[in-house]
Amino acid sequence: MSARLDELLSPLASDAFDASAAEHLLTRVEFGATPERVAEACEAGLKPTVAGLLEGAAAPFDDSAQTDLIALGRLDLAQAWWLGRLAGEGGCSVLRERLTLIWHGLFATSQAKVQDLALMLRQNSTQRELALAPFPQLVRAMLVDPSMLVWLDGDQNRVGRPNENLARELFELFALGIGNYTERDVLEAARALSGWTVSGRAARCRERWFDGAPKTIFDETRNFDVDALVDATTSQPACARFVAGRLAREFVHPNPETDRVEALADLLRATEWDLGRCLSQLLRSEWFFAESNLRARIASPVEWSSRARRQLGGGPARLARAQAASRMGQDLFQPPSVKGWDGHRAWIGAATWIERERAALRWARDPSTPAAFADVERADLPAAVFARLLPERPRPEWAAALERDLDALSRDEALRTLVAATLCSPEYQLV
Amino acid sequence: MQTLILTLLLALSLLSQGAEVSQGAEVSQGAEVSQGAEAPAERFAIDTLAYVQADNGHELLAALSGHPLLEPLRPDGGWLSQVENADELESVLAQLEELAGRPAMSLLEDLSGGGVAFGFGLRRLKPAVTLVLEGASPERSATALQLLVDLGLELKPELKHVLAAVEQRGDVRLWKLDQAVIGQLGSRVGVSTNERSLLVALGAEREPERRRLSANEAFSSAFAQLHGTTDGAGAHAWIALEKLVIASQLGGDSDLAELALLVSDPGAQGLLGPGISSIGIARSLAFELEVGADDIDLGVIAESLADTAASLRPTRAPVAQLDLTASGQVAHALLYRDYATLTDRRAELIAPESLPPFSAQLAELDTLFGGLRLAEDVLPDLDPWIEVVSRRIAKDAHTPPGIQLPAIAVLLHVQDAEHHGPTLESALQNIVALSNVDRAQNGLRPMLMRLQREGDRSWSTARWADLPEGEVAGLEYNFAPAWAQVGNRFVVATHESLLIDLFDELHATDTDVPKASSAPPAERLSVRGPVLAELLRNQLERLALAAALSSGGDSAEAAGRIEPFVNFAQGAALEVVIEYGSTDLRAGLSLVPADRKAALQEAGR
Repeated sequence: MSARLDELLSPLASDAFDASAAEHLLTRVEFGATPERVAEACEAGLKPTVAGLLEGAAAPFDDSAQTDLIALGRLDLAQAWWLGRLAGEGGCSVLRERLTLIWHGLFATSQAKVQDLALMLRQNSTQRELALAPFPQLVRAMLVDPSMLVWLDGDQNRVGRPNENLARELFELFALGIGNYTERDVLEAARALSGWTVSGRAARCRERWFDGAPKTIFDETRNFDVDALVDATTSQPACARFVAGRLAREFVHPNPETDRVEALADLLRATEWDLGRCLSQLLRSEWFFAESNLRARIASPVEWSSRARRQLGGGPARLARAQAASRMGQDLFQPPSVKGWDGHRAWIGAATWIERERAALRWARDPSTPAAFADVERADLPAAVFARLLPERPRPEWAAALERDLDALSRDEALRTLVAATLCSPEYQLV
Repeated sequence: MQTLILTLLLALSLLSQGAEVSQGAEVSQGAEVSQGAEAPAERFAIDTLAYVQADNGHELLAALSGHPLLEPLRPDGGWLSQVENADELESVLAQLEELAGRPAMSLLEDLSGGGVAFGFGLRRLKPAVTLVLEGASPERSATALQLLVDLGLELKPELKHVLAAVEQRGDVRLWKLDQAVIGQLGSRVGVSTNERSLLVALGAEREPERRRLSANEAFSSAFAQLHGTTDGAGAHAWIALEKLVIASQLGGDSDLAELALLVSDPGAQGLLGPGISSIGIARSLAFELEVGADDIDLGVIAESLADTAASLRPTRAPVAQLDLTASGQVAHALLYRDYATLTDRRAELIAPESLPPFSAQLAELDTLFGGLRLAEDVLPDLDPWIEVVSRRIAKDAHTPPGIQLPAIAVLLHVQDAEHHGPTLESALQNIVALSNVDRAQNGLRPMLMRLQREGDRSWSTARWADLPEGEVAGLEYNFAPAWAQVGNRFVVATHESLLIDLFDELHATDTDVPKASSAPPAERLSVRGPVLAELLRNQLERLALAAALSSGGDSAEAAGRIEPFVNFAQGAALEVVIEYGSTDLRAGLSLVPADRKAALQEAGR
């Protein structure tokens, strides 16, 4: 590893991995954790904890319930099922699901146009399977994914009548970013992607519709097809930078420093897109735990909901949570556009904030919520609720004002008020 | 719930105090009561808006809670476990039973063995609610009340000072609370929000005959028809619907008024039929619940239906009623839908706001009939009596849906079949073709349409393209419609195999010979639970996943929640009959054991 990499992604000193750091790691990677889980991570240490998270993400998974969801044919149930997995229900790896969500946001495809739940769930399964795979492999799978072909008219792309949608988004939104390709590259890449159709829920390339003539992409001329196009695109220096930027925004900070992103991109190149190794280094780096990066992101509705679930257990049924997440602005399987969700500050608006408050009230009123505090005395409730939901402690003046308001309330009412107020506090929206 | 329990205890404690004080005067009180031992409805005012009477309330509760048809639905912890704060209530009942040394149900029998009556009305524009329990005898009532007061004092000793505030009105003892008045006269105990109503309900005062509920013509023409016909445990109710709608509107609630609008809603007329959609315009409704040893029956009379939409109700029996039964039958219905009159007289039958879209849809449908006009040329030749059959179907060579729903067929009787059969057939082909165009414009797969012929039979079908082996099909694969003219019938089925089955059955039925019937015209629906239960059981895993995602818990827990309903369906059959009179309609819903229904059907073949 280069000296530059060592400097910019240097590991956190082992004695610096305290409860606060463990809570930060588990919130970013698994959306949230109970105090017990935080203590367990502290006890284990940073390296074994990160290794455990990555081992879990690489372990075999079972998403066979998708067959039943296709039979049921209801998008809202599919959303509920995935939201449950994102909260770790059923013992699945939250990191794998989190990466699947990142790829769903990057290769944003919507049921609104695809209109086939089976295709949407198949794409979801592919993204889950390739969650930690080398990025070129994922790009290749997405370019010939049936729902992506329908979504971006890739199935209409024929020799002599190229459709540029998929090729343009490949460069602009999926792999390179604006400024790293020319208009001619797009036109030629569209020809390289021609011939693909969707039939019987499967994608296949029909030779007679494929443009077999030479194409010039990134100043190289040859008979590009989808595989050659993926190789050429992911070999561009901008591609690793693009992916590194995405990972940094998801795991570290919404506006990461350019040199750190470049270092992470170098690491991706150096490891030949070994995402597991890159994440391991990133999640153990001083940069990841830097003060300026703590609670620097606004939680997405899915993160918010999954965090509450992981911290409190129980909660509203998965369908109700998925519907709430949709109202808060994150409609799984139906991102607003091919750009996916804007995220961060865009999560908070006049309407979506009201929905967060309503969702907080529903969590607080859920019959399962008191179980997390069953053994806590009335007087100790504020401390117990803050310790579980806001381990970094809320602002003292806010906490004091809230505690004063609890005086006249019964234990149950006080608990509900504390949980609701904490879940919709400004601090709780930051992860 | 806690508040309710405490209020009840307080009320009963007060009553019990009265019983304690008056034990020496029981005989004279009993004599007073016997003077007013007329029917409970004589003791409610003519302006009562809702009235419920159970002549054997405790028997009804006992019969319902232990009924064999409902047994599969009984929660593990018993019915009481489903009540809010069930633990608290069970603890109170346990204390009561310990004090009494006998089951709580027997105490209930002592208190209400002579019946229960409840009335709701308006007194000076304020709601007046009155409940009266008729004890088995003054002695048994007094003993039961004493036990309740003992329990009340044990649970709430602070009630003692309240018990002293008793007022005497003749032989009636009254206790006035903030919102209610409680009274006791002999074996009758009652509670009301209006003192005068309570005194009348207890029989201590009397309304003039013309002011009694029994003098209400609507009441006597509906309630009285049902009351007295119950053999087993039961209850009767009556609602002055017309007046209740006005009262609820005065109170700012428009839900009931919306019920009255269904009759002029073409969608409701089409879906619910002329009977159910016109219930909202009845002057009053009477109900009868009868719980027999094997079955449960609910009867409803909607009386004095307004003239609105009277022309949509049947005035004659069906021309030819088929007897279509099969081993896999889920449901069979004989319905009356007079679309010809509805479209012909739409200006008077349909609400003005619904008329433009209705007419626009009619004009769109005209385009399907090759120059004929649906309202003028086609609908008048369709008999309003329609049969609907629903059956489980066997698997065929095509891709099955992941969740199998029962197939449904609609059978129309066509008066000029030679002429209109082909017209209807091509109209449905046009619908599939047009929907395919619409789907193609949205990038969706089309339905594949085919004309089939087998011997002298021909029919049209449409289906989704088969999926590759191993692919799971969605719910839409339950829809593979097929349609054909069969003699003087036109049949539209959701599945080709059901249509083919009906070909044979219809050919074997002499559909041209009208069945003479002197009975009033009636719509009928029959649902067989066991076939439904089998369908549910076969896909329990998938239904459990849906239930777990929707309602919480894991799939195993959700399956545990669904299974009681499957077991309930396994043992039950439902029969619904709607009979039409000249100005009223009667509806009967019967839940009967499935094996008895099957035996009856077998005997009827």
